[in-house]
Amino acid sequence: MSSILQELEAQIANVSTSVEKTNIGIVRETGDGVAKVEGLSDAQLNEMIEFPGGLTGLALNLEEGEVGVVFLGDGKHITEGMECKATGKLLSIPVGENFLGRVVNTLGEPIDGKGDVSAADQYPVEKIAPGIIKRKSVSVPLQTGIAAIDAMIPIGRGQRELIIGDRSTGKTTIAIDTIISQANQNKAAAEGRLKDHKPVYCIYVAIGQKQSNIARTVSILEDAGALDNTTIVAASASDSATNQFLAPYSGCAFAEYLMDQGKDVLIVFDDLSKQAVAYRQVSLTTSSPTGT
Amino acid sequence: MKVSKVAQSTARRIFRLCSKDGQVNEEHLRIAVTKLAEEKPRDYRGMLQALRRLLQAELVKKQVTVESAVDLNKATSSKVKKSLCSQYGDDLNFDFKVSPELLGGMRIRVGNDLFDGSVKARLERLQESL
Repeated sequence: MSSILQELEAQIANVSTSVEKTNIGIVRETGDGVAKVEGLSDAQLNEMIEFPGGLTGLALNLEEGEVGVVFLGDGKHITEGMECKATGKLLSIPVGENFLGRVVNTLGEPIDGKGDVSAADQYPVEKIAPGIIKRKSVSVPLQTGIAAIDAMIPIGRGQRELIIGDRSTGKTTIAIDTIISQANQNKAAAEGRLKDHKPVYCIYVAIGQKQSNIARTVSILEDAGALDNTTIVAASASDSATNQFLAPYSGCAFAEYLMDQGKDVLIVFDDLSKQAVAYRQVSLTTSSPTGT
Repeated sequence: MKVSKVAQSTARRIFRLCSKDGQVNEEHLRIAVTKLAEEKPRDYRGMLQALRRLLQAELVKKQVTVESAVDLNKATSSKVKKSLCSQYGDDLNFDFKVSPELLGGMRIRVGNDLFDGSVKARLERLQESL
């Protein structure tokens, strides 16, 4: 009993009782998953905005006296005249090694029904990439396990490769096979059958796919025993355009965390053309530039 | 009514010319508005609309709402006024309200800034942390 009392006292001591200054705004109009907010004079681009009911928004369009905020969830209960406040934090997600073997959404919340994940850190979704001087030149190959690719167009660790092709020609299959091959190589290295092999962890970002397709991919990886060293970030076709647009950034945040731990990571974005469509949709509703 | 970008930038320019050291000169702005209404340049309605919005935003910045659970005595209210005026300038418009749902403490809103020192907010913070 005394330990519970101590815990409670510690919790109460942690609660700040001082008065804090917060920057607030009033929702002027809402629709299409976007709220136009008057006020929020101190809001920054990509800052998280807190709405009533625990809903989080993302400040994407800053105008004079007005901010365009996209909802990162269901914003149907948000109505005109409601108050929202700036959090002062840029959009960040929980990351960590515990996310390997799990399926999460864009905000890093698990959606596989396997319970909560304890995060090691919070990483911003928008981060400046390491400069060209900081990067090593490509020296270690990444074996995809597909003989034709490894022989004719080998891929190196630290390289980007575009998989391009007509529909139903096996683009996703190449990516999934590569992930499975990495898992097999990691296992072989752990058993001592493969020398000087640094394990590769995988992030698979599914954007705008049918939920049934995502479930099939998960089961393929699970059956092949490759899910344990893979994190799947899923933004299905039924998710909001904002979530689909942000999914690659979230996937990258997971990968960057592993990279910062000195690990090698393979990240697959499947596919970026759907992300481009989602971005166009978001930028048209927030009246920000649609890009080129 | 949709205000064009040209009208918006012209209104901003008029507003800037009618302001000095961050303060709007009422007389100058009145003259500018009268001139606009008389001469009716192209898209003058949009300009007036944009000017109205800019002036409204400026007024909101100077509006202070002080909410408390009980009626504040004169000494406390003047202390609040004094400390806010020293922080935000002397030309603030104060509005004192009584909101029993705050349970205690004060909730002060200055423009877009909110200082919530009410018992209700503290209880909510405690609830979130537990």
